[in-house]
Amino acid sequence: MTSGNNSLPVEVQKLIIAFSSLPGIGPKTAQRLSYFVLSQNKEETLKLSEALTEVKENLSFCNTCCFITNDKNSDNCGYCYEKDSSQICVVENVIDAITIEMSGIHNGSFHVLHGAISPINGIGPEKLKIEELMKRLNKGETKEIILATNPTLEGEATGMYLNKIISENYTNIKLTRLARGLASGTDLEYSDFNTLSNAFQNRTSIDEIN
Amino acid sequence: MKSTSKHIKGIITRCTNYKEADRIFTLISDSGIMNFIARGAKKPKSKLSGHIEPLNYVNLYYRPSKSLNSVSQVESINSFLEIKKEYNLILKAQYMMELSESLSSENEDNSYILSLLIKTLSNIHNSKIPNLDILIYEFEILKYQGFGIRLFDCTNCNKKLERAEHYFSSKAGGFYCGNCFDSKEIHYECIKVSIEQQLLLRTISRKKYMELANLDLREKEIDTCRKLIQNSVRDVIGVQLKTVNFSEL
Repeated sequence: MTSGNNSLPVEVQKLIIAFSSLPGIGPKTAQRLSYFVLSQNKEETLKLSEALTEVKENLSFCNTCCFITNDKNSDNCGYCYEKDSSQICVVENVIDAITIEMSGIHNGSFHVLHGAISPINGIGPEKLKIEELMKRLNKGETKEIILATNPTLEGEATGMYLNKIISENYTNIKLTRLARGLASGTDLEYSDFNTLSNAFQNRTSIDEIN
Repeated sequence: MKSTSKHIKGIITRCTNYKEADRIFTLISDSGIMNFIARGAKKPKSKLSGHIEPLNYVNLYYRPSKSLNSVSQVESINSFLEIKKEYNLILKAQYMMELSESLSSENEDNSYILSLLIKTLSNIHNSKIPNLDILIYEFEILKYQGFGIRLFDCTNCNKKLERAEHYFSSKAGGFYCGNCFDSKEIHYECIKVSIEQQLLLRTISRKKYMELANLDLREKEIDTCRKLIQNSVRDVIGVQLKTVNFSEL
């Protein structure tokens, strides 16, 4: 038997290439996953295949909030109708929106940007779903925008950019962002300057906490 | 027992999330470009989180490895908080980091580039004209790497340049005198440079920064000079830097 993937059946080679295209999956892991799929019984494999097909056939991104939707009318998903559109929480990724939604702390709607501004990686504002957000704001229903971008350099840059264009064009919309500072359970000793600086700037009266 | 752990100082230029909670990042250090993995850095309780961020000047301890060096401890020396508060400054800082990355190599002495980067990053938030600081940085880093611009004589005939407008070619690495420019069919790749712009570049090349205050510096003069340098960088490294496309730069 010769070494290398070329000696494998074409079907297995295709499966290895398909797994390799996933983020964080290298060629060796792709091979392991492929052999696992081969060793699985047919029903289990078909379930995986069906799930993948259904995701691509039934789901899309809403043209309004850019969140996942299974509505055929992707211009305004059911989620957009259900939620209070006067308060929009702007997040970088779908997973961020799901995390906030699961916590139950936000009753308004979401807007997913699908990334963050990162000049060093060639990602500018035009590559994000900012135009869609502006279209929503033009409807005049929004009273507050909550910027919930990640507290990273890219997330902060995105927040600053949105702050600039929203405050220039929509003076009646309140702009807020998630609090910055120390996370529960962390040690002051290991905190970085940025976190400490934010924690001091956003310090609150003990009465407010109680 | 002899410790295998090493420590190094440098500026983090870019980070990528990896697996569940790890981060892979690039550091511009005294010893050139280095890549590291910070295991568990995305977890909120991680001692590494917060420090592993682009534009942080850090002191880190790591275990050397054939593939990715694994970080064990990290402390921030300077987080350049003032830069992180302004969108335009973040873009400028990212441009400088990308430029430094593109002109640095692995396992080579890089202390001059690192110290120049730290100095410029420390100055730009207080500077009246941040683009002038960046121009000096661009000019110096290019010169240090051996790609300095010929400012005083023609790149074709080697004659001393007269006090007049001249044409700059990034491919030639300098200016053409009037005669050489007219005789060559290279007009499409040249940039017309005014006397003031040449004076600005010559003052920077002589490191007489105090004299810059006496020059009539307008944004246009600085921007044209920066364009020359950016074209030179593009020709040296073979690709256009991604950050150059941002209009706010």
